[in-house]
Amino acid sequence: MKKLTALFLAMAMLFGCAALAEGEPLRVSWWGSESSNKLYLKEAEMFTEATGIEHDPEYYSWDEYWTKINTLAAGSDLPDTLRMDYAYILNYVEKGQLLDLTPLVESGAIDLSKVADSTISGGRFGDGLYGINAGSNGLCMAVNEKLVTDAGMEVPSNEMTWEEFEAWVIGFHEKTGLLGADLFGLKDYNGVFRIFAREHGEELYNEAQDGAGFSAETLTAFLASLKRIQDAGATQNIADAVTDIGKENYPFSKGESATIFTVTDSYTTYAAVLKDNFGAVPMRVLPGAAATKAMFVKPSQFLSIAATSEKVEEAAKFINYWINDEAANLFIAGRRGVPINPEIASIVGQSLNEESMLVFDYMNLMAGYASDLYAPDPKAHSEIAENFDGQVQNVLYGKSTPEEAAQATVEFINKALNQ
Amino acid sequence: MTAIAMKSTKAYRRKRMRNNLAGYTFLAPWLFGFVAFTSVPMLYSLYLAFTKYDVLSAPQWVGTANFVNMFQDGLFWKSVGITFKYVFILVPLRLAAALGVALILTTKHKGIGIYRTVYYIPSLLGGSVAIAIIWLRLWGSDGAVNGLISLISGSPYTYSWIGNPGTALYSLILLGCWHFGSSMLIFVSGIKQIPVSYYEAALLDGAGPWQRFRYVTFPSLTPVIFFNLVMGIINAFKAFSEALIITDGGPMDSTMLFALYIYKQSFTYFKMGYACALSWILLIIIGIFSALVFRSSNYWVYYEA
Repeated sequence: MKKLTALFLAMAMLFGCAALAEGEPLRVSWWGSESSNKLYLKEAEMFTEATGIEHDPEYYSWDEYWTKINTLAAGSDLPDTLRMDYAYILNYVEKGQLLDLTPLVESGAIDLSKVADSTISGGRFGDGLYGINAGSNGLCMAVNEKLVTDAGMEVPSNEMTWEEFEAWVIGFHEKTGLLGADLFGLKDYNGVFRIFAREHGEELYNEAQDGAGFSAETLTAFLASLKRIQDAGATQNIADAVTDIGKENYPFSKGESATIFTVTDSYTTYAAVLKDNFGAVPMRVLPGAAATKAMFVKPSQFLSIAATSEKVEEAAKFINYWINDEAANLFIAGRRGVPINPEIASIVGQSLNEESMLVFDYMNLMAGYASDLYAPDPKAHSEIAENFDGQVQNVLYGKSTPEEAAQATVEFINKALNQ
Repeated sequence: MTAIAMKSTKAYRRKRMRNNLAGYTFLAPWLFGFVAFTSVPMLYSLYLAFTKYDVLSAPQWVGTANFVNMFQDGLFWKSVGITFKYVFILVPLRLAAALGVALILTTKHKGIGIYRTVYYIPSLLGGSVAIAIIWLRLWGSDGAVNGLISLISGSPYTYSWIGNPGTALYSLILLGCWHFGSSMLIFVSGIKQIPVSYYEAALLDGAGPWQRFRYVTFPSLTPVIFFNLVMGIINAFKAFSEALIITDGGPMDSTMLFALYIYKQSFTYFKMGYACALSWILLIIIGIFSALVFRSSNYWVYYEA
């Protein structure tokens, strides 16, 4: 009899716990570095104060975020509101993990009445809208103006071609002994190489996404240029670059390099680090982009709702708050991209600090050098990116020629996309 | 058989069952954990090894395709080679270091306990991020090691030990050797258990220090060496966090240890089915080597009894 009572009580506890789930807070998730996390936590708290809806934040670093989200998706346990990135969103949409937001937009639960359609078109797949663009970003070249002028050279212009850039960095190194560019940004598959391919009228992947969109010749030219820059000493030797971890340790942040290719989101970090000792850090479009308008304006991140979410209404309120609330956007002050609501953008634009102002201005300028955004990357993209990095290492360590590496890369992409 | 004997058999059986029940009850939590968190996942992973599974959608059965692809995958063979190199250089080195230091630390000096503690600490630090960053900078082109070499040789030496594919693995092996503390402590306790009478007998026979080691210490320690060897091999095959945090597979995949390769396949590329197949191959490899060591133990391990 006693045993039965004990068993019954245990069961009651278990079911009681399940019942408690009714009052659970809204789960929101994002990725971020430490400074971004503080920002988003505060904004989520502001949301709770404004609407009375409790929130439960889950946040991780960029790499861990995707591992965690994938694991949660496998267990049908995705957070109610989740951040999505353009590189991954297609995969989730295809697997039905994200809610189509069109009904919410039409009913006004998410108010997009003032937002231009072109800004949110990045989140459209097929007939549905699966993510609201939280802000836009793009690539840029940050320049340490003081280092350049001290060397008696001029800051690169927006019209500089890639060949001129190569000569420029090598010339800078010969004059000063410092680096012309950071290797980190110079060999990024996702960043500079995407632009480089677009400069030649190509993309990373072909339209059917079953093969490489760029030719081996284009990649050969890129790799050969990289090798020449490294061998001339204008960028770090690959063996030395291994020990630099974290943006604060890159040569650019320490004032030992003239330029770095980076995302506009990261620009403010570099500008802040260099401000005291070096002053202004102007931004330029990437070399060679001017001729073919190779730049692109990319959604920095999407706000999406999980298809399995049971708190759709609250999640919609959260997204709406993020986009349209004046106080929230003034607080974030453009640190996650330009707000998509133009009224909010202009209000925020007037209150920004200097670095964020520069980012805003640059985004406006870059739009003039940009053409259509690329199609979302296929699922094998991260594997291909790692293989690309391996081939770049092969070339920089001198283990293979640019031609061989380029050929191997294209073959790998073709194989990976057809598996 | 008398009636008394039959009664005692039944009572005996019931008593035994009650004793066993107590045993099983105490065992139950561990058993539950083992079944739920080890056996069931292992069996599921065996199933997944024959599927294509990217976590977001359901597993698709592909038969032996994963294993066929594995044997054609260049990086798989490279990773196996690197892991073998890592294990078979690290384990003997670490055992030798542990044994050597243990011998020194069983002499009768004051405060010898402190030394033992100090030499054990690196094992505790393990593959932490702090150690990773230190190690990276230590062996980098402008690190302390190069500083020392420059001092001795007189001219600046800037070869990046950790950045060059030829030597990166060796810095990881050295890191593994640095963790000799736990093996060392086990050796210390093993050495302390050797009866003093053996040494007395050896001294009476006129044995010098090396002969005492060769004929008394070493044979008596063979069970401990055997234990450390098996544990060392298993742990070395599973080495993962150093490779991930310090070099992330290293310059040109030269430090792509097998466990890291599995991790990349599963969590970076989301090829879970393939990763499960790889894990079972690792299990088989570790099993084979452990079995080999066990088999050979008949020839070189002397047990007291």
